Amino acid sequence: MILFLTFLLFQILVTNIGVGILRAISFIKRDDIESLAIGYLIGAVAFSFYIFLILIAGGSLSSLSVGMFFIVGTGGTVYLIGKRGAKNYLSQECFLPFKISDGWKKTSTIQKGLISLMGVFICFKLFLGLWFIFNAPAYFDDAITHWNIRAKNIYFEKFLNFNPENKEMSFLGGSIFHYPFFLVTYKAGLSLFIGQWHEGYANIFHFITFIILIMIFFLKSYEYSEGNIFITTVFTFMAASAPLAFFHSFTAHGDMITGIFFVLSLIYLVDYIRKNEMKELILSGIFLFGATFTKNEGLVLIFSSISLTAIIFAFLWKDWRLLIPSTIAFALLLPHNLMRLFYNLRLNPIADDSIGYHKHTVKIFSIVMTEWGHSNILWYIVPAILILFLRYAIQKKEIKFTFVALFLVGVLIFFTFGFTASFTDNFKNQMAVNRTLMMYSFSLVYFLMMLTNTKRIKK
Amino acid sequence: MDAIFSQLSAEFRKFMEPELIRPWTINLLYGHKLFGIAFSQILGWGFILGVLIYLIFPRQRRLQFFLTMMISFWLIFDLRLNYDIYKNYLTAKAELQKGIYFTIEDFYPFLDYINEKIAIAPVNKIYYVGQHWPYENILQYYLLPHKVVGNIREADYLVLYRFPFHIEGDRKIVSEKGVICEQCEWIGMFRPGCNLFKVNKIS
Repeated sequence: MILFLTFLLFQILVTNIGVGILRAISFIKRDDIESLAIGYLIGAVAFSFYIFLILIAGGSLSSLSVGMFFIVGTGGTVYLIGKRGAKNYLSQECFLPFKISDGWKKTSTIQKGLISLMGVFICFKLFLGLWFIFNAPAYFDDAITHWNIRAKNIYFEKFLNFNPENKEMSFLGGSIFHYPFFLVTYKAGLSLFIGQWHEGYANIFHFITFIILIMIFFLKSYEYSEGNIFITTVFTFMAASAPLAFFHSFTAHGDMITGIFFVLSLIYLVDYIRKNEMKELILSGIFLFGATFTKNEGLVLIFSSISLTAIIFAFLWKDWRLLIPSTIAFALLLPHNLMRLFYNLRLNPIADDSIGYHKHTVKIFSIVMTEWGHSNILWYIVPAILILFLRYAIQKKEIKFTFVALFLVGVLIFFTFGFTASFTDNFKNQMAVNRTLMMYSFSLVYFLMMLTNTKRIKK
Repeated sequence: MDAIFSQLSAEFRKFMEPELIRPWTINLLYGHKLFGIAFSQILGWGFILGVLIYLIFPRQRRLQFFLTMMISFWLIFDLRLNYDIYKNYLTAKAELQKGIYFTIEDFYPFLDYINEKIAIAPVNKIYYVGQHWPYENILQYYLLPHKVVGNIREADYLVLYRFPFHIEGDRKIVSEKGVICEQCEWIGMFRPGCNLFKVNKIS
């Protein structure tokens, strides 16, 4: 019980600090559930980044260093709440900023049936995902060797070892040290706070992030569809039921988290284009950093695509503010990138630098996307919706931007797996390609939602 | 008629065989086939056919029809997937009571046993002999803060997992490939094949 309460306190403090950061960048439109959900993720990113900075500065993972974060962070948040008021904080509007019953009345009987079925399926997956988190042992190899072992090493060793000759400690956290630190330092810090390494509590972050994805999709789809509960549920359900996502919601891989940060970065960048509000760009930048600080794919596929798209449209629209998210992500990632350069940490530690087209690339992509069981029928839906809806929607600025960004991600995925040594190490043997496609799928579903709701999008 | 019915029944049974969790499940799901055709392909082409019908549908209700049709195909696929997820849950629940988790047999309770026998402080060094993948990685992870080392001379403890050996003399552990440990004191056996030894340092 004490363990659970300590864990709960950690989550409350982290969310509180995240909401404080949102207040600092004046994002608080309402003190609503959206702010709480993304506040939780922002708090987690801030906490992980702080622990990372402490460790690379030679400091230790200690009660003092972790305590300082919460004392200063909570103090700052309380000050901001005191200064700007806590209107509606924890009020009814906080949890549901709209009335679902209004939309429900307008829905047909068939659609009501489908909505109920989708709701049941989502709850079913969440319930069993939670069961696996607290009952299943660490099983998938990468979850152990790439992710959790580094967090557990740091939790026990308290310091980051910068000397590869030192065999008593793990070099840069040990094992696959080429990977970024978001999940590693977050879980090490959480374990220190709760006083032990607990498999379930260490991994529940993945599950909570999955719930946040569902919440944000629901809220955004509701906004885009102007309260159409059926359309809202359709796209929320599509994002929540990507087949591989269920397995990633209870295990310690970074792919789903990277994909969620990616779609959040895109959502708030699109919100900026629609509403022209600076704070959305800062938020987009924080989530873009989250994606790059979680997995190397975040840097290679996501950061490069969003940055290139932002540069193209900044020139076309003469709107230089579009470069803000990439600038924020670049600045925050600088310490890790300097470390990467200093220790010559490769982006893909198992692949060599050879470049050249590998035959069978198209055939393998075709099989894994249209025949196997990890994509549902997404890769049939994407071209159909593009053909049917894109021509009506392409004049919208946000559609143009998202289309180019996602097209570039797609091209980079094809290039990475078809033209580099990843073909052998991650593609032909199916080690990474489907996880990367899952990472991509959340943003694609968001784009499909935008396309089918084009007429409703308010400027 | 009976032959057709039994063939259909066999095909359906094969289709309903659950895809259980395996070490690669986190990377891919093979999915299922009906009459040799991938289920996602059947639903995918069904959806494409639905799109063609959509094009002749009255314009006013087009979007609603399109989304209802699209999500119906998606739901059918998800229903089949949920059946697999449920079967995975039932399998895991039943097996975990016996200390088994899908492809890993009795290794997790053996690790709990080792953790009970070895005090958490000071940090000990462990030498592992047994099947390498994925057991050594799991052992390394679960026994932290104790470290797994690659040389018996550095080790404080020896873990032997399903590896044939015999004891020569008093404390010499030997396998077909040669001597594993010159001076090892047997601490206990969790189950046949799951042995833990204390390594006595030879000065």
